[in-house]
Amino acid sequence: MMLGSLKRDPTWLTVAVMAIGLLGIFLIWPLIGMLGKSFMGADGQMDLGGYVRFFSDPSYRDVFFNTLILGVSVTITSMLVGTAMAVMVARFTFPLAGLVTALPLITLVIPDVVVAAAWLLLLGKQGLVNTLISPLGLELPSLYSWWGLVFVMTLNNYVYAFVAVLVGLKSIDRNLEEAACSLGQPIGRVLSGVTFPLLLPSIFAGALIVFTHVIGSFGVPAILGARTPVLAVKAYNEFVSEMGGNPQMQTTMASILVFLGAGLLLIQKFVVERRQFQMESGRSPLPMSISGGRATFASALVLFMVGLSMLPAVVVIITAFTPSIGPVLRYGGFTLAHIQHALVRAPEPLYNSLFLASIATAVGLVFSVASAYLIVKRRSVLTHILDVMVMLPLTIAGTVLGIALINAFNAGPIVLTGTWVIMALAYFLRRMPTSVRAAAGPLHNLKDSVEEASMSLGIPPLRSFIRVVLPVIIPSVIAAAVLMWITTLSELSATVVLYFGGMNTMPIEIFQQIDSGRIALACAYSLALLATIFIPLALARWLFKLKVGTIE
Amino acid sequence: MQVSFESIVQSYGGQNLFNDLDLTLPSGKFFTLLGPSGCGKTTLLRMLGGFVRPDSGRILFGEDDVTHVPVHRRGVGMVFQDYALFPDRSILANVCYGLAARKIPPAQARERAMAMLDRVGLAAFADRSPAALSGGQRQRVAMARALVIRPKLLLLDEPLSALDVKLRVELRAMIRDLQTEAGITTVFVTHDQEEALAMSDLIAVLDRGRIVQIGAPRDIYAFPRTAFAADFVGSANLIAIEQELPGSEAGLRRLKTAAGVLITSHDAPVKPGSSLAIRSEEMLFSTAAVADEGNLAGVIEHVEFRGSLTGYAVRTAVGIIRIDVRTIHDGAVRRTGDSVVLALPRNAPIVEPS
Repeated sequence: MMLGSLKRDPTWLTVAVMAIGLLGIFLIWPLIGMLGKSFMGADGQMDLGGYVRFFSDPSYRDVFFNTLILGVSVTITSMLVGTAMAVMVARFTFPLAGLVTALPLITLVIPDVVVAAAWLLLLGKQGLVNTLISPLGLELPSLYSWWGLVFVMTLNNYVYAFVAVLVGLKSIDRNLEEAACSLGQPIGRVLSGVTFPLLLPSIFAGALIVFTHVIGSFGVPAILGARTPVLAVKAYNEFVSEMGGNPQMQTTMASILVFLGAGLLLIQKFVVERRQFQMESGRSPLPMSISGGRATFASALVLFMVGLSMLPAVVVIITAFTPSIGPVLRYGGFTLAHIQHALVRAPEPLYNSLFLASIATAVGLVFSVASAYLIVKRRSVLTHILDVMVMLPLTIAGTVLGIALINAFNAGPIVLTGTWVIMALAYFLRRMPTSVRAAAGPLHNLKDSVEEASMSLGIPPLRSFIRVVLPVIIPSVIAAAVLMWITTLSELSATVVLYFGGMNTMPIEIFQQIDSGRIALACAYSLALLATIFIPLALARWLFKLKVGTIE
Repeated sequence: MQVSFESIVQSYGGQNLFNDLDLTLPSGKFFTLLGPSGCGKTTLLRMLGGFVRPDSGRILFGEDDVTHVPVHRRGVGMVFQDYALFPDRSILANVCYGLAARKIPPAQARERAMAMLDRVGLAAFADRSPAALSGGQRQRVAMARALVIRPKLLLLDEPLSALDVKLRVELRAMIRDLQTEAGITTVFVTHDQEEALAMSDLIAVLDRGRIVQIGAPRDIYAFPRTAFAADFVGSANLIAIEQELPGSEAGLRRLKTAAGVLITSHDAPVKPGSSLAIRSEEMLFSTAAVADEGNLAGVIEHVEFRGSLTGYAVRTAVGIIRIDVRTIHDGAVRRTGDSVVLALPRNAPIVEPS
């Protein structure tokens, strides 16, 4: 059982050992090193001082609770919005309902930082809305506050909740509801007593995704959260602090985030998955057609949400061409100055972003295909370990991963700090789990016998895999690679820790421009990044008909 | 080529599935592994294919130890339950697949593949994709693909169980013909006793990792060794034997049961727990009003008309006895509640407890 069917194939056994070794050295070792440092005082002795200080010093403790409060509130709002929309489009047909299929794509294409910047432009102190309503003596509450954070982060995250619940709703067999109705239950009781419990695992899964995203996110809280510091940002600040920071506090905060993430992963594994029901794959319930006022309301709501999600892109495009004097924008004017400035300076960060994303994607592609195959088709203790290791980065905030990598590779047998390799490595680790999942999907549906037939006809295992298995999974794998590539282009939270002079990426450039108040310029950069992301995505999706960013 | 398992030990989920199993499959025979799911028949087949490696023990192809030879170098042909055709290749390409691996020039491979497809009656379908074929046709392609490489050993993993009844009977004959023509040692795995009886030279009945009995179909059917074999191959009524009484003058053995004395000519020893196995189709309704020695009296509890056969469940002193009578021979109409006497065969086998 330890090796399962790997026992008969030394080739795959070698691949499995290599994959585990790779993650062991570049993921597990840095994490363990970081945890170790958090338990180590300045004198190098084992010491819980970091944790004691963290929970006794109000400036740290508040950060912890801020993180939790933010995580919980954004999760609740995202679940409400996401679930409501999922139920609407899964159960009813109305005009414009099809627009929701665009939502995942919009969220993927527009980087978090850009969204935050756009909402600053709209709702900030000098923002468009305040300019409009100030003659009336009104002013919006500051965006640099709880509500601003929750608002923007909900818009950034509700799509994950929406997708999770929608997939759950679609997998419910309609016969179950029909059976319950036929047994004399009124429809309200059926929905609350039959449908809702079946949907709970999907709701939990969606909530966990949103929560991990929020507690690990860096860009939005770094831009909007000056008054409400959260763990990821505080750990970063401690890290870049001129005073050298406190290595123990740095690693303590990062470790606490790791513990939070690992705890969630355990809950997911042992509570949520255990409660998952094996459902006969039946037909999902037919959506009901609605019309009149209710349909208008539903259409309006979908239009509103899609509009809200698209708005940042529109604002960014307009602002990129708007003249500015310092931070003040002159809407209605037109200038190419920002674009010109960006074009002169952008090629380098753009080149860096493309270079790093391409390397990480290429490595990630090979790694994900091999790992997904091992995990799905060669079940054994060894590949189970690989499975857990592969999913681990999903729960680790980018900032934390960055800190762990820097700590592990700035001295010792492998020195990577200050090279592009460490950045590509972080990108690979962060995005690889999604690719593994994408490759695993079609593998689950592929019968083992096809590959076995090939081997029995005389083709060695690795060649059989390439000839018979690979063609089946290649469309999803390429789609996943495109996804990996574009999400890597907008990666900020690990980059911000790992980049060094000469290795600026586009998101870093945008972040710095926002930080120094040059919002129009930030928008010009954002526009360049959006275009860079959008063109290959459009090619993949419409020319090659790959399912990038679709709802499965 | 003769194939043998030697002292195979294999555990599965912490439990020993095979504990020192030995089995020899004679050269050129159609050999069936028969048993319910979980009995280990598929695992044995997959060991021959090289997909499962035994914890200990050896697998021999002729004189060669192949225990550690990987799948692709075993030179076996395998046919799977779900056909396992390559979905993105044409029928012809599927059949050529194994030939290409053997470095046979494309023209020659094509010729051989076409001849094989012609043999299974699918030459006209060579350019189609597997999706365009019916289940029966796909399985014929799978047979062609496995046989065209001229394997030393042919492995059939429940190849008929995904097909409907009519097709199954048709393919049964074709598979058997192909095997006889090629003269290849063949191992066939099934849980369907009728299939096993119809196709095999030899059957090994497996029960929870043990081989209960090996024999020709007729012997296994007529003289099962254990209660399990009796019930799995055909269905048998088992009547517990309490003790053996002194024999009759005609050389028949007299066995005391809860329903009186029953009689058989079978010579197996009576052990503690032994039963008399009586097949439902081997009994008749007696015209006698009272049961004498060797017969059973009872009351009909249930009647099931199945067309050519009529099935009755009869309550007797040894419990429910099931009897199937050919409708055409069963002149009288019997109903639930009727008292009947069952005439038992005089050669019913004595079986050991399983």
